[in-house]
Amino acid sequence: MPEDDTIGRIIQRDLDRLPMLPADRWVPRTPLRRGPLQLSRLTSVAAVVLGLVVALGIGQGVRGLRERAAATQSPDAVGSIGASALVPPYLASPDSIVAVSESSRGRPLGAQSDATLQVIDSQTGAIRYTVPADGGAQAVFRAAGSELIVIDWPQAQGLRVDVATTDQRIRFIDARTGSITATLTEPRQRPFIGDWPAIGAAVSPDGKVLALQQLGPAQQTPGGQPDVVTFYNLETRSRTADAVLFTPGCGPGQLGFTDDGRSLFLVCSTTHFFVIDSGTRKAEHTGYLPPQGRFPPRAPGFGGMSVIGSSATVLTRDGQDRFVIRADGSISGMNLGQIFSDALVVPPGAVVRVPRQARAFVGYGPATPGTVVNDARIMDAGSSGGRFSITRSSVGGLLADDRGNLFGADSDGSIWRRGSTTVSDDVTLVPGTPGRLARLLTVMRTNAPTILSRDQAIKFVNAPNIRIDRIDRIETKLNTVGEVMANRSSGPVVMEGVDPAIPVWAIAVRGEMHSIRGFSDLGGRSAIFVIDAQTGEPIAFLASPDEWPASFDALPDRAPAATAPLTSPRLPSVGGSTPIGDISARSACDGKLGSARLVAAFESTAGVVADWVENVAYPDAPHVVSSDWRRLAPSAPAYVCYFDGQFNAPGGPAPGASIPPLLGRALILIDGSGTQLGPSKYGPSESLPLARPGGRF
Amino acid sequence: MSNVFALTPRERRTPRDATSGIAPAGILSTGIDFDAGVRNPRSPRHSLVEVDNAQDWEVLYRNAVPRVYPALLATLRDAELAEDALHEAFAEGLKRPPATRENLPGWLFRVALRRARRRRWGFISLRGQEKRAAADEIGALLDRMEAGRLLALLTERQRALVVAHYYLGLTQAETANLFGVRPGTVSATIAKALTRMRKGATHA
Repeated sequence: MPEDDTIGRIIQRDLDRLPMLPADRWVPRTPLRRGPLQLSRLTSVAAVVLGLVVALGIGQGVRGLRERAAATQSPDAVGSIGASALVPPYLASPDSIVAVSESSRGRPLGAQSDATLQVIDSQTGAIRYTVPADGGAQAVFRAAGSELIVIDWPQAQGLRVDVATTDQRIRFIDARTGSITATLTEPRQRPFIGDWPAIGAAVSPDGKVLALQQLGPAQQTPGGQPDVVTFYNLETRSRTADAVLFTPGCGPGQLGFTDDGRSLFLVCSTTHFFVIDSGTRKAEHTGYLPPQGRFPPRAPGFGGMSVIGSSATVLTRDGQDRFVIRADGSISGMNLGQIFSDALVVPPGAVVRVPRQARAFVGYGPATPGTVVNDARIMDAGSSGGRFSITRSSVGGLLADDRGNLFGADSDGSIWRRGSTTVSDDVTLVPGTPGRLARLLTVMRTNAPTILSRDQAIKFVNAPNIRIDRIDRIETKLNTVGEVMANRSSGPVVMEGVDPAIPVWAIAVRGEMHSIRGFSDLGGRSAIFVIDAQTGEPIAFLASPDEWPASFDALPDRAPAATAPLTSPRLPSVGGSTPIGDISARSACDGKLGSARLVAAFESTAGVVADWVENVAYPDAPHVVSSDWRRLAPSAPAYVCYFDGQFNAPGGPAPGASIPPLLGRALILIDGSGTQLGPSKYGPSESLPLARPGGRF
Repeated sequence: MSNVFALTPRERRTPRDATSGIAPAGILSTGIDFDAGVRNPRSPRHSLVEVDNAQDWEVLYRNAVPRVYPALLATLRDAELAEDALHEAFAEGLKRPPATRENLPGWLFRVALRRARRRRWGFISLRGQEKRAAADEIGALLDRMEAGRLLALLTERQRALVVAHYYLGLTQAETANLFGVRPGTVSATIAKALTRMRKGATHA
């Protein structure tokens, strides 16, 4: 019989022999990657297995997070504006090797052919191969990314695209090599107007069924067919007999299977949705999402709503409004109204996603602009009996000011979030296995809401189902929703569910625009696009039969550049109270110029800054031959700081004269120790656009 | 930022009797002079240290991990749960550091155990097969060890107190203080645990 001390010795001896946790796992993992993407507008991101986040930006293709090259897109490039209607959603294979995007390179705006699906190595960014596709192709992965299924409508040479005479083609492609293994042609005509990159397509979790949304011709077409969802047997590569579900008037939508494969969700652009039994291929439930007073959910091609399948399925709308549909086996007995009533418990800004294994990832917590989120939770759907128990009292405003946020899940449970798309496109990738609260503590930050600049607003111009082919004239004014709607040429209107005080950019466009869905095309040549001034989300589209929308000219411009005073207390100034640029540079710049307001702060290196200041070609720029920055190591940190305020003219007042202060901007450069190094520049804000090193000086 | 670092790793502190302060015989046998500062890689004891930032906290925490993790493994018999619990204790320390830096391993051990219980109750039904397999693996390893077999005879609560006392070197008073129970309860629980282990060893 062992004595007490012997037992103690045994415990000491044996426990010391237990395998030790590797040192790199002693503390919760820090963010896997974090950095600015510097895309003019981030439409979508995908986390892949090897940890790389692939991001797709409009007009700029696919970038990995490792890439830090600044975008050089010209803000007024018409091509980039048109591209917003042409770039389809990203697609990343589960096995991490490829991402797919449609290229619009070399494609005249408005043209309907020569689209190409690019299959890109997500680790290197190199194009592995391309898949020629006609019009707006759709693609899905099957069998853990080993097979790529591409759907398009090949056109006969010389045929007008808006003539619905083409048949649908489904090609099965070896995702690794790009070789086509099979082709299935179906007598399904191309939709009548425009191209359709955003139709729903999904492969069942067992890889056996392809559900494909197919849009009928426009409704006024004689003999037109309704929209349908067609099911294909992927083992026989044939259409499943009699497995067609009619979804009339659905329009471009999203399809998603639940993780258990039992249900299929289809959400239409009309807010109509279907819950489809995967076994019977029949709609178990249909209904409409609650009206929000805005446009219907945007098709995925616009980076809008996403459907995420799981055994407890969550349907999200990107933006402030999120809805949850529970499909955990009890949906047939549920009142859909109740579902949405439950869903409304989900607070604005909460992010809910159920990637797999019935896990719900819920991130929320108190947050105020510019502060670090100090509480974030990841919950497990199973922890509360399959329901999402969001404690209302503890819900703050996490991400409520960051409506562009998006959560995703990697195969290891990692969660990434996207910050504001309007300023820096910060993406933080954090490991997020349920319950590992600690891993979110120090990495989630919110950006303060910022109003888009005028140039940014022009980039954001878009509206659901509207394609801009050419722009002849474009002007913007900062207003509120209420002002724009009260000024409509056809009479004032109140948008239900939209706060009339929301700041918006009204963007008047004259050019060639088309409706890509509807009873008829647009009749006029001008329109006003109303977009959320903070997020760029479209709020309204006001077509005008005139050459120029007359109501636009009557609108005041609330942007500070205009002489009109700010009339709405809800309307922040352009640029917002938060500097644009890199968050990391703010602390280095802040307060370096007295009480002047820091409007932009960028992080750079001494080498880059030296090159910049020694090579600026602007006549009013300081001429520097050998910069002080050369004394520092090229990789030494440097911060480029812009301040707005009242500054005296350089050199001080002339003798005996009193020079009134200038209302203008200052550009100063700060090194890693906080010391200002030359040169600097003071002048009107027009002469000092906020830019990273390399721009105007 | 405070830089009052006074880390003086000391050798493993041995358990002492709560009333007499004398370590149980047979354990105080390492022959290491405390004041000589002999560094034992698994020794987490430090002198009083002031910290007021996360970096300092991580330093303290890392010093304690080699001691606390085996204790958690032996108590929870689940490597993944132990790792998660450890991480959560780390996070707890970041948010609400312990009032005193004394007996940090004990504090981490107690917080981690509490978090592990919460997690296990909340998520056990959803734990996947592979996680279960990981738990089985550490269980099998413990079963091959004499200490593991003895500790397996105990309830988790008994294991926690025995490990705290005999492995972390906490006195019964310290253990009682940490776990928020009366010293008599600790004493009785450990006594009952020892009886059970002795019986188990005899049967074996």
